[in-house]
Amino acid sequence: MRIKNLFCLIFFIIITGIGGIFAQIVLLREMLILFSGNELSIGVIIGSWVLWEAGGAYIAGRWRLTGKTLAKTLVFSTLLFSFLFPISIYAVRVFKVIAGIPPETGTGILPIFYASFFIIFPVGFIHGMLFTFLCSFYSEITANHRSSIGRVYFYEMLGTIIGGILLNYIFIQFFNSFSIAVGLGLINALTCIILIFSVSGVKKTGIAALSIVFLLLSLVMVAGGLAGYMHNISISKQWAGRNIVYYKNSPYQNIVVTGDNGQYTFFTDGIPVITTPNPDTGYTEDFVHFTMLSHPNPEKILVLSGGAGGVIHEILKYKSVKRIDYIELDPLFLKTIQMFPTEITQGELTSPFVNLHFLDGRMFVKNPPVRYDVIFLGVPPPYTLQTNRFFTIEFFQIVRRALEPDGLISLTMPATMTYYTDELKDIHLCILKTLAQVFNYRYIIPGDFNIFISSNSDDLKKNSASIISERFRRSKVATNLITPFYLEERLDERKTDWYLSSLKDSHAEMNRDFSPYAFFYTIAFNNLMYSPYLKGFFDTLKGMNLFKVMLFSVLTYLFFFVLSLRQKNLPIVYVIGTTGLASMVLELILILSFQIYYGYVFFEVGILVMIFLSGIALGGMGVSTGYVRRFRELKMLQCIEFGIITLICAVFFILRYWCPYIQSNTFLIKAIFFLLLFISGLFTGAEFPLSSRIYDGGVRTEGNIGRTVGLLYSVDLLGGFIGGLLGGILLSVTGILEGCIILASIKTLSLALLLTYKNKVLLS
Amino acid sequence: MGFNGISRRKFVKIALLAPFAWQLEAKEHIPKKDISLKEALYYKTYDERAKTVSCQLCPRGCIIGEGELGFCRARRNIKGRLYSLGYSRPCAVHIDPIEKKPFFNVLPRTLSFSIASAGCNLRCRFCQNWQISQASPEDTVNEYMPPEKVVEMAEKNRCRSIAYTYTEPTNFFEYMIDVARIAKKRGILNIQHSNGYINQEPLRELCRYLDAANIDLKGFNNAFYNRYCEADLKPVLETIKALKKSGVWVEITNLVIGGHNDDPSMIGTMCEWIKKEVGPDVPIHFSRFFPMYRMRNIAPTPVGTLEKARDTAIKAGIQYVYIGNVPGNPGENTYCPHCKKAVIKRVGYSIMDVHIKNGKCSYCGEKIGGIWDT
Repeated sequence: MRIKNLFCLIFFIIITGIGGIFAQIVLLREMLILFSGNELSIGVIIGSWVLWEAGGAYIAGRWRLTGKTLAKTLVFSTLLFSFLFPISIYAVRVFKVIAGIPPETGTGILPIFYASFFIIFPVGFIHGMLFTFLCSFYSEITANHRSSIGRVYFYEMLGTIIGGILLNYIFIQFFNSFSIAVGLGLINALTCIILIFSVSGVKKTGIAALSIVFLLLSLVMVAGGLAGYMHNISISKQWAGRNIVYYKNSPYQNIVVTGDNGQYTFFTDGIPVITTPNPDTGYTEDFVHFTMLSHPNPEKILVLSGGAGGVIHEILKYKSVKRIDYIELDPLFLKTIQMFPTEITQGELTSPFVNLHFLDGRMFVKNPPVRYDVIFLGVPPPYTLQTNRFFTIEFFQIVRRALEPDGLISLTMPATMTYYTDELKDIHLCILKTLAQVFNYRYIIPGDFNIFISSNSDDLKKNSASIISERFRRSKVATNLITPFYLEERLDERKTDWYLSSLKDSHAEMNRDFSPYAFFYTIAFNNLMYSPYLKGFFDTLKGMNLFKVMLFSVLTYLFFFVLSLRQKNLPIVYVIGTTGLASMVLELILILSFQIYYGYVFFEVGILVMIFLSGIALGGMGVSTGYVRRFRELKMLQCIEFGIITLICAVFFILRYWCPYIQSNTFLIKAIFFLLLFISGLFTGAEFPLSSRIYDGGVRTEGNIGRTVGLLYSVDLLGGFIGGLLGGILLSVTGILEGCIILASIKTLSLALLLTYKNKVLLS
Repeated sequence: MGFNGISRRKFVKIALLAPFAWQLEAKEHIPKKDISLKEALYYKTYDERAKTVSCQLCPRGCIIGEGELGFCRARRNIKGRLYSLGYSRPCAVHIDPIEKKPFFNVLPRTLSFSIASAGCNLRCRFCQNWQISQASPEDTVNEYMPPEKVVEMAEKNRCRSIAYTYTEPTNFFEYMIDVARIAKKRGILNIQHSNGYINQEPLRELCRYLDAANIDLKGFNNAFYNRYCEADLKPVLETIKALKKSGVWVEITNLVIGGHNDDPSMIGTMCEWIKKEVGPDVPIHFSRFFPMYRMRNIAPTPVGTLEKARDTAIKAGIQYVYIGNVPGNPGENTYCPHCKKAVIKRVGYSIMDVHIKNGKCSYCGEKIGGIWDT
């Protein structure tokens, strides 16, 4: 086979990379809406994608396709991928209907696993196969076996980066998922046609006809609005029984508004957050009035999320209030609320006392315009690592600096007035201990949700039902729920005594930025609702610590060491697998740490991921150049392994000892994280093509390329799967920085195993 | 329901969980130290050789193998005898205003000594107390509170009633009966909040001691009960009728879930049934649903829906119709069925004003249904 213009093939590879990231992100976002996801479900979903890619790559490697068959299979697989992508989106949206689960019902981790496993299978598997086919095809076309893997890796990564930027920053906001999928199908069909007619020595008729038909179908779907039709049909099935009046994706989340009998409910990623015009009075009035009445004269108020739809409305009833700063991350969210105005929300969002700010709440509190009398923390409970940042010692220390000396902070937690399970006890004791570390005094109001009011002011120490009642009487604030009897009953000290005695069996830890225990406890509690059969698994995880995980790593190493005595190439496989795991977890550590020091900014986080992927691309390209060939490949691999270990140690020391002192210098923080992620990507990217060459151990035949790529790519992805699946959860029990120690030990052991490897054929 | 009476969801669940069946094998039973075993009152031997028993307490009629738990998780077969696990072992003991149960036509402004043991014979996806209703007494940390002590504590805390609530009281039936017997003698009211899923014979025994019952009528069609509670409607209706016939004061709670059981014609049919079969003086509480337990991806009930439901009930001739979980709504008040004036004004469960004397409207003298102080 020959190709007229190699650029056609390169373009094809880039588009394949774009297609892969499109499918991954779109399906992930759709599944997060379906499952109201958090890091655990993200880990499961991404893990499924990675696993099926690995499977596809491996199987494709076993086929050892060559020549015309390879060319035709490559084109056919691309078209098949494009065909299955929109079907997968539809399958996600109607999954609950198919599975007989009522659409408004949440699901446990196993249904999430099964759904992602089976829905992602077609597209993930085929995409994995595509990579292997492309490596083989590139190698055949260019007759350049040595560098083909590296080059294909590079081009595909380039496509991933371009696709990620296009999708996250442009397409997601303007097109629905089906339009994106159909548009991709159209481009893929076009690239297939271009490739077919660029390659000589291949009979074209059948496959060209198929590509042209596919192209025409895609054009019809785009022009005829069929993509939009599929979108509407699937939405109506997904939200069966509910009247959708608004549906849009922002960069941060999916926003849906339902209308029913004069009521609007605003959902973000499938979870209802605000109801108008009749909010949950039991929540809004309790949260606001118990807090405001705990301060003698609240004038300057800060509301960190969750203010619209009742909370700010209640705050504005107080004549003492002079200023309310209201922070939300997503500007589209408040815009959407204003599209469905009610008296309450209009009053809140247009009040001259209210200043709206659209940024990460933690960033705002670091440099507030004033110091506050009262801070309302309205973020959801810490069931994601993102929201966990608002319930840590470090965050509360920042908040303390943003408060006036007699200022107070108020937050809520899901609770109960009947019985505390072990999981719920852990959450509460964790939060209490964390608050106690920063604030001298805490006033707790137990209920169906608990209100925690904390301050360093002696005023709070004296807080009581009688003081609150008296302030309520004097304030003359009009309420629907709060009455003197209600105050007396709600603030009965015996309830607080009962609540505190309920927590006595718990040994929960404090919540810190780098030890996100509250996140773990909340995940364990949520799991109890949906997957109680996994309680034992979470209890086991709770008992995990650094020592146990490291012990497990050593045992795994010993297992592979024994096996490698018979399987000579096994150390290479082990190196690739552990690098896949380490790179995934290290990326997670760095992104989480970035958010801790800098804040959650969508664009910056997106850039971080792109920088990491760029590093991978350049690393892969670097080992394919002539310069690298001068070094012996095994030595190079060993050096890279050592480099990874050094990098992990550097990450640990930088995060532990340097970043806390420079966190006010945002430029330096960004620069450090960009550099660390880039180097991490560079090492990861370099190892794969290098390992592939070493694994083959000599001059490659065409058949070997596919098999080698298939095996190693699948192992790389498998490592990434494990890292993605367990990384977030394990880091929350061992600690994020301790995760660096674990990774360093794993990579040290893999280097030790690599040092036992003897490459029989060394290339000079 | 789908093939062979198995729902589609259940079939998919079984098929997908089959590879993990090894994990689901029942472990050897080791009683926890805070469990008291009390032989169940309503059961029969099903297979003497296999030591299997048949529970007769509720319409599920569980056939329970040796060592296994019943569906409610509160009864276990130990060597061919069925035992209640929650006897004298409540996991929840609290003192609440009676309005919280909710009882709006029973002794307003009084306190109720409320107890529950873990377990439930339904699987409602919107359960508020799922942490104990979907658990076994073997899983929870329980107090030791024999029947006599329950009554003592109620008296000590000046509670006018003892409420069997939070979880389904049927699952701690023997405990409830023994407490109720003592309470009756001491002049303390016995009230319960129940799903009504109980067989007639144990219900008749219970009615000898029960003074008031609030029954959750979760929806008025069998499909809703099947899909969201894994139960049937008919036994609940029979329970309501039997309670009323026995002279127990009955109030009904209907948790209205938007898009699921809020169909106006269904509500209308329900109200017609209540009026005809149980009487127009049975109060109905239409409660606003908020996302809960496994039903979190759903909007709260629109207040307009509740108000329409209330209007439907009033038009059907029901005398006392309330709206719950909407503080400040006029539907929280009790109105005289004759002069239509508010005889009890409420905000949430705070009583603002009472105009009832000797069980009659202070304005016009009409008898107000319920249990009042004389």
